[in-house]
Amino acid sequence: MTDAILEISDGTTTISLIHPSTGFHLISWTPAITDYKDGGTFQNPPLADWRQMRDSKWATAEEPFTITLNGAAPDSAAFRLQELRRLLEKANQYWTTDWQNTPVYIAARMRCETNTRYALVVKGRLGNDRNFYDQPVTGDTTTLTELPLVIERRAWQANAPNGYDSISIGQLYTYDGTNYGNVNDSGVFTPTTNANEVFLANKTAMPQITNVHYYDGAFTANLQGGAFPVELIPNGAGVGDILYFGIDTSIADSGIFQHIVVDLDAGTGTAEFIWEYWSGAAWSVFGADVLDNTSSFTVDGVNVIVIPPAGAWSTNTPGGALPTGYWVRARISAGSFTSNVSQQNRNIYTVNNPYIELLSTDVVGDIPAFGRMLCVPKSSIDTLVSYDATRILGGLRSVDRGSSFNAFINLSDTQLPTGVTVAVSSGCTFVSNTLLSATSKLAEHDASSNLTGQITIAFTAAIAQQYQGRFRVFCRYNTNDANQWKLQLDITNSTASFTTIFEGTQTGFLDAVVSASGFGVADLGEYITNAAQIFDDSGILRFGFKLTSTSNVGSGTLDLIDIVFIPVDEFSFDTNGDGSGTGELSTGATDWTNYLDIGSLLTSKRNLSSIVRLRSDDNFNNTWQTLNNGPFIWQANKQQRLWILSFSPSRITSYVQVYKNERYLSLRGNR
Amino acid sequence: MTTIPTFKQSVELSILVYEPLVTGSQLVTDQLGSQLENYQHTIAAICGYESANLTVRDRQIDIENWLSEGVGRHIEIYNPALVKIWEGFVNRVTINLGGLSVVRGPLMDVANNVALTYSTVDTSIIPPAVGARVTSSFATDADSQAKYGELTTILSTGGVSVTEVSSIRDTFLAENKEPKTSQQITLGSGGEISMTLDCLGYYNFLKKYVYNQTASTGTANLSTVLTAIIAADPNGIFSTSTVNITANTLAVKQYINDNQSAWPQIQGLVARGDVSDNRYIFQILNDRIPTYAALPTTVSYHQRLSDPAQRIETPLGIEVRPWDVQAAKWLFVPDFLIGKPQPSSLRLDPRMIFIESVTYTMPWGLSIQGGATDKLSQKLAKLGLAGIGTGTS
Repeated sequence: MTDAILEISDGTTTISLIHPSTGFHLISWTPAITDYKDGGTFQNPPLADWRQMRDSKWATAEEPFTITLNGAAPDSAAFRLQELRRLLEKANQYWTTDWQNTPVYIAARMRCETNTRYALVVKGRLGNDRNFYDQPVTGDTTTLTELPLVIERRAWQANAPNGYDSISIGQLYTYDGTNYGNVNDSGVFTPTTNANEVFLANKTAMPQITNVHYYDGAFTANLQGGAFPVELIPNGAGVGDILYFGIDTSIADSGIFQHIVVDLDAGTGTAEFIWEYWSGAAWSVFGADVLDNTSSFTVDGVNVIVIPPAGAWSTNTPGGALPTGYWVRARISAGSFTSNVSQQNRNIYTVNNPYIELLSTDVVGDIPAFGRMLCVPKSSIDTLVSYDATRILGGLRSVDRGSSFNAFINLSDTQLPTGVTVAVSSGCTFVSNTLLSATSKLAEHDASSNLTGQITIAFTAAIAQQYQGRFRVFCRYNTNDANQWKLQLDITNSTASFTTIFEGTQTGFLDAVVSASGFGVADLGEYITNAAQIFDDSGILRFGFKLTSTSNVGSGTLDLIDIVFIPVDEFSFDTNGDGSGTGELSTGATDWTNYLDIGSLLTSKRNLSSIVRLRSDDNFNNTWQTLNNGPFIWQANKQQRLWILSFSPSRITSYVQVYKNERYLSLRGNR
Repeated sequence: MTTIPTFKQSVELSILVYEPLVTGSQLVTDQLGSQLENYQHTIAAICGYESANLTVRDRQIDIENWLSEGVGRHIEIYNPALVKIWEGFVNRVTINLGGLSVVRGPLMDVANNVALTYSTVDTSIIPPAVGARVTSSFATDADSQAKYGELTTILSTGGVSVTEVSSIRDTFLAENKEPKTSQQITLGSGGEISMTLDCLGYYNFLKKYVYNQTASTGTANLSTVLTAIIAADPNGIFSTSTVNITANTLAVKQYINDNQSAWPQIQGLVARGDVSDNRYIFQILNDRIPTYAALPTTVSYHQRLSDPAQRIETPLGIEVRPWDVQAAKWLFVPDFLIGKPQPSSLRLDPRMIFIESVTYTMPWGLSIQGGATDKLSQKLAKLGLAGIGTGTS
């Protein structure tokens, strides 16, 4: 059985309002429930029936307490009054000064209630004293009756202000009937709060690493899919021994991969590796450095190896019983191991998801919880483009709006979300591109053949419903020509003709201009749809897009990589550095020195902070400017995905951790 | 139970505040959006982002900073989808500290590149004669230009001596090189601590430089001359992108030497329309990219009087939030004059409103001003006429 709690505290000084002996005692209190500001914002036109609420934002709640101070000697009573008034003044100063940064809060728990709830004090005032010269004030014991205490507070929270809980998250990939990602040794999804174990891709891809083999004159059997731990490299492995990682191309949606995530019981020794891929006729060294965060398989635990883009990565059959596929191999070029290397549990996998998923039980409460995310880039030098992550966008979307919704749609002939097809016409063709695979292709507009190129993206009726909402739309591209390209996105409700469904001759509702060569992200603006209005001539729910690129000269090519729909109607942010290089997430070295800490948990004075911290000691390095449509929230009691787009090459990866402070309108009970 | 509204703000607009564009546009704050008490902006077909007003309650120390440093700051407003919906600069800052009210600005009254047009006086004859109109050299203030950009004013006076010319010019410069400040103290009332930022769109900077072109004679396409006028901006504020400038082959003279600022010249060009007398619009919108285009020929918005939510929608039925509504678009009122036939031309249908200007007021207020879309105005503009009478009384 738990005791009741009703106290005001700054974490150091705590004053109970229901003190069991001498002190403050609660006489009366009608707990307040916060309402919307002004009761909500309504539209009330004279030509329409009723009125309609259009907007609502929470107001603070005012809690009127009546308390009594009794049982104390006069000096003690004076001391207690001073302490309470000083604490309330501290609460007020938190908001009005730069130097008082300790929040003051109420903590409350009903007797026998399991959990305590907390609310940030916005303003506090203890009203008039009693007549100090009247009974029962005077005497050996002092009783000050019916003191009016008024606390204005925010919503109740599960943690004291600036506190938070970690959320267990993970990635689950099912490919060819096998589970990959954050799973246990039986393949069961196992979310974690551990640092550095949940990886995020900056793209959508489908295939997983189907095969891992060790070679020392003969190939081992496939080390994937067996019992764990499994030995990857034996004690004594030396020059010429090789570890192979591959994707079997006989499986649907196969392709190349750009990350290898391992969970090592690491080895010891002096072995040095050369990383190679099959370039069509021979094993070739990657053009840029592989970022091996395992330091040649000598670092314990979960880690990622990032593979740079290969020039012409082709399929091959390395030998033995190995299947034809896309293969990467790590060949020992010097030194040797003095102990074996094992994969501790779970299959070795690659990172394919650009979102974090929370289950409906991960965040509970009465209203959305405040949230926070740490995003630690883990990538390497990229020969394709600059790899600075200077801008990151995030958008939250509840899964019950469509579990098949995918914010990233490859502009390719393969690896597309369910129910989505992409076709090219005019000056656009599908061409080989090493971002996906040698056999699948990305759309490319060759301006020398036609100034205009077109790509159509069609959704089946079932999937179209899952793309309702408000989005910021981006198109990632790579061009070899600095002349101006104009990208225009049209919506259509016909998979046959792709006629724009806007009336008359109006074309285009979203567009962007590209005017520099290299990799880039074109901002196509805001896209809104209500699929209920999108029917074709037969009354079938259907819609799609037409992406048109127009060159102002007849030269150069524009490779269109993917189109990204970042949801913006639940919560979204857009944060970026100042472009000066200082405080960016990377420094141009082979690893990243900084990480992004974005959220609404660390200080209540700002509704959202976006901080760049040093990886070495977590200290503050810089602040990024942020656009956000409210505080960083997680939806309460909902399965949800936070989609993340980094303005960097599509293959970049990060590891992420997320936190919450759940919010309640009243009691918590045991939740 | 009492519920206390803290901020009236209910729509999550984001605001980025930067130092003035001419000083490098470093970020000042990204937190102003959560402090908004009132916000309003106006977008017009003839100029784009026209004006915005923000009222913020803040601490005295922050408000004082705005008073001393705020004029000229670059402001960007973003909608809940984080799309930019307005941008401009702070023209005037008004702060209220209890009974003290202080106004600094407007920036557009600042002059740091000043000349005087005057008439010479020949005093050697009796009586002295007023001679030709000439313009003096420019006097400049480098410090002011570094802070606010080059802001040109050409004064005009009658017959004065050369000595008086420089004295008048330099005195004017000295007194107008910084934003003016005025104060008012009202005692006896409580007052409040707040500030109001009166912002203007960047088209106003077109009023602050003179465009002359004496190298070429003959005629050129109207859109070419228009582009040249914008490109002459001495402060580099306007984008050089011509992607949104529609080619207009109407021939106009190239030689210009009237010491006239860019804005009335652009207004004059826009008013001419094209060879078919179609009306054009000119706007400075996001990233100061000039837009010059003929009026649209299709409807962009619907607004039903009977909609309880008073939504603006696309013809497809997709809601357009009030802060996203743009000027220079056609709006159709479907449940007005129901059953009446639809004329062949949009402008002949009283249910059609060409949005000349639109004013959004936080949180959900919207005011739309319709405008004329005839051809006569363009014909008259080509003739240099402002209007024409009916001949009847």
